Amino acid sequence: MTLRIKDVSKRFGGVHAVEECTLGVQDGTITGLIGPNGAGKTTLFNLITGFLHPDGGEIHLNGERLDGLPAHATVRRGVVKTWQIPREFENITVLENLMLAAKDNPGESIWNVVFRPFRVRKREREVQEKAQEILEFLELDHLATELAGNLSGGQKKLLELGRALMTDPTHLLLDEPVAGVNRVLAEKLLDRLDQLREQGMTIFLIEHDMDVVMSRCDVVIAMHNGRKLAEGTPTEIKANDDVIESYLGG
Amino acid sequence: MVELGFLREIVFFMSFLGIFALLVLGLNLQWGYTGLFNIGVAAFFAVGAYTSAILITPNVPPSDFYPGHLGFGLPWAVGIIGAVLVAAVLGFLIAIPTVRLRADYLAIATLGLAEIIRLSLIQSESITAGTIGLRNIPSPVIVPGDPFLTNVAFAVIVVLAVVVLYVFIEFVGRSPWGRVLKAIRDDEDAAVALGKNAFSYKVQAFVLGAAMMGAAGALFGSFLHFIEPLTSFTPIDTFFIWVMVILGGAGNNRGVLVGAFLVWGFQFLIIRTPFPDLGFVDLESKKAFLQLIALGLLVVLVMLLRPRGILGEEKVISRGVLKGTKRST
Repeated sequence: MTLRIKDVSKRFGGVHAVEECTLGVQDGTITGLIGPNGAGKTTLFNLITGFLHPDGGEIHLNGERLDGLPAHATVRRGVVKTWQIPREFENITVLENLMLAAKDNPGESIWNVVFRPFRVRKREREVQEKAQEILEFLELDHLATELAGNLSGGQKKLLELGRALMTDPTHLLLDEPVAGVNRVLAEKLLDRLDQLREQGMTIFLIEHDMDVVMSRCDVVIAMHNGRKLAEGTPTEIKANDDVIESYLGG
Repeated sequence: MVELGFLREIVFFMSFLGIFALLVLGLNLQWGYTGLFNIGVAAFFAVGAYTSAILITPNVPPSDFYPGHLGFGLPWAVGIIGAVLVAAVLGFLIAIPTVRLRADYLAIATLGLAEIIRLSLIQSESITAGTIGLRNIPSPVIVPGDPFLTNVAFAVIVVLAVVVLYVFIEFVGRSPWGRVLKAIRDDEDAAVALGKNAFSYKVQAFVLGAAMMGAAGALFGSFLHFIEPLTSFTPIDTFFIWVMVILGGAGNNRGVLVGAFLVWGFQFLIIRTPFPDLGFVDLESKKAFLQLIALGLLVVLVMLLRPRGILGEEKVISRGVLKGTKRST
């Protein structure tokens, strides 16, 4: 288990969004994070990715402290998140949305652009090839030169996933990846997640659709009032009395 | 004689167009690429103008008729280099605390900065000659006994500067670096979530833009040979640069140059066209106001018809990307 959250707390004013939360995500699994609204799921994602900093507790990745790092630096450690509501770069083409997400692109330094143009061009070609591969994987390749802002809601979700994949993550944090996505497209996206897990990626996802959680997740973690309520296989969670009471309902 | 007069007009027009071009390219890098709402263009323009003027104009001690000003009488090139550096440093110092701010706060901060700088220039009489103005700022190239050729040489230098900077900005703008700027403009948090250090990029864009505005200021002083902070370097000057950028198409370097040409051309025509005296009102004396009204209407019109500006932004922004890409229709 390389991603561990230990006694993490986060308050907003008087609200304890996450309170002394301790949990771990097993490597190479699709781990679902469920819980009622306000349970602290999105806040937890923001804490892991550095968009928020915990008031207390520690977050470890491969034994290294992740909390305290600025958000842009957590990506370099292999943790990347997508947004609940897609945040595409609307005035940039789909292909370039992916290209700009690539890790280690020397051309993103103006110094290299001017003084190492050949190195920049070489890497840029690799980046483009990779972006095109991912677009094909997500079946978005026919939209490569379309402005991202013109995509449908579901396509934007796929674009988000594609962008995240461009960063070569080891841990993919997805905030409701199939919410608002039609059934066919959602199945396609979830199949892609299965493939990614088989390649060794760890996927941690927030999801409200229990059918998705039951059929796709290896492990499910239920949160309530900022704490971990239960953890287990989907079947175990479905039968857990606490989870039924606070979230699933009778 | 008539022809020479016409040529003179063209040289004058081109010189100013070049100065505006540097300003719009600088603002476009900040706003069009990076989404930095800088309403303090005049600050960097003024700092560039005064830095260069003080560096290249000889010192003038105070007298009964003139407050005098600081001056070092250095070569012209030192002046523009100094202007670029000082404007860049000012840009850096301002950027550090302000580019983290949301766009509207950045706007207020930069607007305030511009007025602080202008009022300081007015007050620092022993250094800048205050409202009397700093005069006798030398031209970059002086053709002895021929002011016309001296002006031609100036226009050539300005146009060359614009070409060089345009090529540079296009080059870096179409690189992965420029692409990150546009990503930050579209959604800063999303760019950060993908590992981009948005703060660093915003500072870089702000400083580079400020440096270009500083260069424009240096050229402005050398062209007019005279600068004063009472009617120049005002918020309305910043407004004009903004109009050029928005009209032509923010995010597109060619667009903003078109915007500069149209707005300055429009102003130039109004300046050169005699307006009639209607008896109850002398339009000639109201030209400056009519021009503002007309420009405002023009902005409204263009924004209604072409909200992304006359040229708008190009779709594919990265160099070389279209090669080997299937074009979607």
